[in-house]
Amino acid sequence: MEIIKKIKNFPLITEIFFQMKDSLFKRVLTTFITIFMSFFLTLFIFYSCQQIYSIKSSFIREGKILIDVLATNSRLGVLAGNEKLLKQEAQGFLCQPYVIGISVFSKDSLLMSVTKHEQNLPRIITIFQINKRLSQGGRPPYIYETDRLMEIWNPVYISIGFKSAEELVLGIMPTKTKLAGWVALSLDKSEISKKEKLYFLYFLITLFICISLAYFFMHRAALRTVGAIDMLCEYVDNFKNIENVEALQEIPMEGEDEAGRVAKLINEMIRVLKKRHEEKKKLETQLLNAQKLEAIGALAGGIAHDFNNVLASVMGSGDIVKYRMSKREEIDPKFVEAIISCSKRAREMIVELLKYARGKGMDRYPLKLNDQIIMLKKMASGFLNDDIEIRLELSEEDPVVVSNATQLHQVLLNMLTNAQDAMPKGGRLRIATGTAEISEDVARSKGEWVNPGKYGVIYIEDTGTGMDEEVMKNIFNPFFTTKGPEKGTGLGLYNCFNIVKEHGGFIDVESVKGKGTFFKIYIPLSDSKEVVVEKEDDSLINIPKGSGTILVADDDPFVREVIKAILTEFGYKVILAVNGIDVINKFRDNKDEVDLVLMDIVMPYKHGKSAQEAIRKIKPGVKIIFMSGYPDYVLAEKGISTDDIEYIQKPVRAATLIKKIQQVLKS
Amino acid sequence: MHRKASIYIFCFLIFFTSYSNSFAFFSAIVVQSIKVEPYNRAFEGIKSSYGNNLKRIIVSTYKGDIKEYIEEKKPRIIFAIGEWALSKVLSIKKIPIVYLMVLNPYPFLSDNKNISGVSMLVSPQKRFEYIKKYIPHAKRIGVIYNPKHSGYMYKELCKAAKKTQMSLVAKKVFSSQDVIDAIKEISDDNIDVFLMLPDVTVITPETLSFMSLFFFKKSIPIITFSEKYLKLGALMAIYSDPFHIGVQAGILARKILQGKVRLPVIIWPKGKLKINPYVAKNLSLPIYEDGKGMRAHGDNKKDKKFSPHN
Repeated sequence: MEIIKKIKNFPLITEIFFQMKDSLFKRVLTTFITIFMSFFLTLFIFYSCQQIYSIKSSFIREGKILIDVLATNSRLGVLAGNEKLLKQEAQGFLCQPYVIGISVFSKDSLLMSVTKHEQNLPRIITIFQINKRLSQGGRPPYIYETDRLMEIWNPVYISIGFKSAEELVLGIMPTKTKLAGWVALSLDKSEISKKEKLYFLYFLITLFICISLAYFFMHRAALRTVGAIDMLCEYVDNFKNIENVEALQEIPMEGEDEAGRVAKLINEMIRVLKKRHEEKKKLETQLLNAQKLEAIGALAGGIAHDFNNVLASVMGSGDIVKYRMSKREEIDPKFVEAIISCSKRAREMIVELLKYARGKGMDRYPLKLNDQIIMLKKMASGFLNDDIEIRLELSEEDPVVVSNATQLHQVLLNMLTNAQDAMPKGGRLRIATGTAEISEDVARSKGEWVNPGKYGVIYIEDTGTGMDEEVMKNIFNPFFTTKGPEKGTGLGLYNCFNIVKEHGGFIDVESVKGKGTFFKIYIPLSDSKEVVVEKEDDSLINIPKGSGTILVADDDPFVREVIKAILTEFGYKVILAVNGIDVINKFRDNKDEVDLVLMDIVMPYKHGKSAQEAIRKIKPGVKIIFMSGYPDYVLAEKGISTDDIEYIQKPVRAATLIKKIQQVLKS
Repeated sequence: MHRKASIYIFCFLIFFTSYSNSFAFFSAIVVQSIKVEPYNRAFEGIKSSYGNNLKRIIVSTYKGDIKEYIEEKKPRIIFAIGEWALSKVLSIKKIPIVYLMVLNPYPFLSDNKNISGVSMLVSPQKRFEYIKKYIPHAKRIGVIYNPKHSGYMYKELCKAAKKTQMSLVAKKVFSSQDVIDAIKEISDDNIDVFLMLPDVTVITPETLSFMSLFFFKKSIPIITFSEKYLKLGALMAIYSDPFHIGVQAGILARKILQGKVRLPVIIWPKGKLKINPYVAKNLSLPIYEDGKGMRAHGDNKKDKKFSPHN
């Protein structure tokens, strides 16, 4: 495109020939210029030769005219031998700038008069040689010249006079003449060179104007000739980034000429490409989901393991508490604390799993890489084989990057899964963090989306089977897999690459066949070192006790009982309902008493929203809080929005529940 | 019958009259130097006044001996047109010779009493009269001559100048090279007009052009002897027409044969005058202003108006 812009800005000819890359325009213009210059140079050589010849011949012609006039005017002076008269005649001729001297000789070769501009009038030839030449039959005027001087000799003829007085009286003029002497005109030839220089000056000016005009018109002609092709090139240049099919634009060119036909073909090709791209995107989405399922499958084992551990803790602690209570012994609070902590851990696991499955959580925020790696290790320990030794090397710099934990985990989990696949017989897996400064050159070499600057780096190194060059070249390409069609989708690393690319980062990979693979994941560092951490206030100590009647509806009896216990503990009277219809009936029965309805959204017979409508019909303005164990997207699929309602996501901590109820009651 | 006889008698008388007219005068031979227009016109003039009984010989083309031929034919009179022709018949003593178109006949006249003729130039006195008439302020007349060629003319001019009370300023030259200086010198002598004499030393194409320009620069009018020189810058030409000279020669011949004149006799031809009005205008002469110079003057009033392009 730079070429075309340059062309349109009328570049210098030298720029076109020596700097511009080969192009059709250059070739067409070169052809035009070659034809023009050949024609012009031929014309110039021909015209210049003619002009130079013409200048000289004109100079000689003027000299001949002068010498002719001079010879005629000198007749009397020569006849009378009157030097004064000769000088008088010659003086008029010396006003010509190129006449430097006039010499008059008598018939007897005697110098009669010299009139000159210069002190020493050089002489090319002698009068004796002139007389000799005349006697040999040479026809005057005689011209002799040196580099600087030109001498023109002309004889002075006078009439032989009247034969008789009778002829004189009768006016019969004598026609015969006789040689009376010679006049020699010395001319300065520098006048010729002056005229030649002047001619060349005019010529150069004309040449400049001609070439400028010719270049202008040839440029226009060349542009007109290759303009359509230029436009094609301009659009075809977009194909450099052919991966970005959506950015490809159809060429706005119509016509049945060659360029028009090519444009039609390209437009057709673009339409096909876009159509295929759409299909590919759909396919990719489908495959992505499949890949997620695959990842979820991989996680499931780990989660199940963790979940079992969590449940083991909860159940064990519960058993101890129950046992001590039955013995009326004092209960150690650590068991209760263990139950709560394990529940929290289980809730987090569920949240993460749901987020991953849903692909939510794409908001980016500052994250400490070290924390994420630690969390990853916990997650990975669930599904990684026991014979894989994980070693963490966390940077003391504690790099903070702007990312999304879910996306980051997806990338890292993919890497770890691949590492595990590469180490079927076990091995060492090193996960490290660090920072790196990326220069402009490196950034440019990694991709146009990469900016120079500071990056946080995650190093994942395994001692697996490694890859050869051919595999390494293709690992980030979609659908490329070495695991076989049943095991892998070929989208894992492709997604990793795209996620990191979306972050403005890049992935480097080094691998030696048989020794292992080393991934370096570069993510731009956050400007801020501060990390947003949501702290859940789970203390019930400072929460004041309330009062009032709360109608609690949930189809799960355990949930109903736990909530009743919590609310009762904090001074509230609780009425329980088991489904959607039950809650409406209970509310109708206790409509004056109930201050707030706390109900599950999804319940048997009638879901929460419908129940709400019925309750509001009975008592408009009654306060209702919904709760649900379903994630948002599941509720949305059921046509239930949580945007315009008071909502609590289950599982909910007691403190959170009480605070929410108190808040709604006060509002 | 009587009528027929009358016609025959009338025709006879006519024939006899014309024939007798042809033989009433003596036959003549015209010897002409060369065949040029002025000489031919002179010959025409002879014919018009003398008659047609003439035999013309052109010297330049005649192969034989002219003298022998003439002596064999024994004409009553010989016309010699031109100096060359006169020299060819000079040795004939017994037949009267009338020359014409000869400028200087004097060298031929000394021993020959049978030679008469018509002068080629208008008489000096007539020339002065013309000058006086048309250029009244002209008192000093400049003349350049070579005594060898035109000394006799100078003498005649001197005589005529005395009679007309004009002064002659003369310069002698002996070669053409002296003419330039003579022209310059004579112009310094306050001459009013320059009278050109038919002298081959003084007049050459080169001196003529110089003379014209020089005298024009000095505002001195040139009076010449032939209308041809008007074109070359002369103001006034006082000349005689060759035809009229021929006519006068024919009349003279008849008189000689009739014995009415005694030989030798030389007569002056009638003069004509022509003025170049452009020169007159450029010289600011009143001759142009009153219109007199616009036409030729003299015997032939039918002469055309002068034009430099003629």
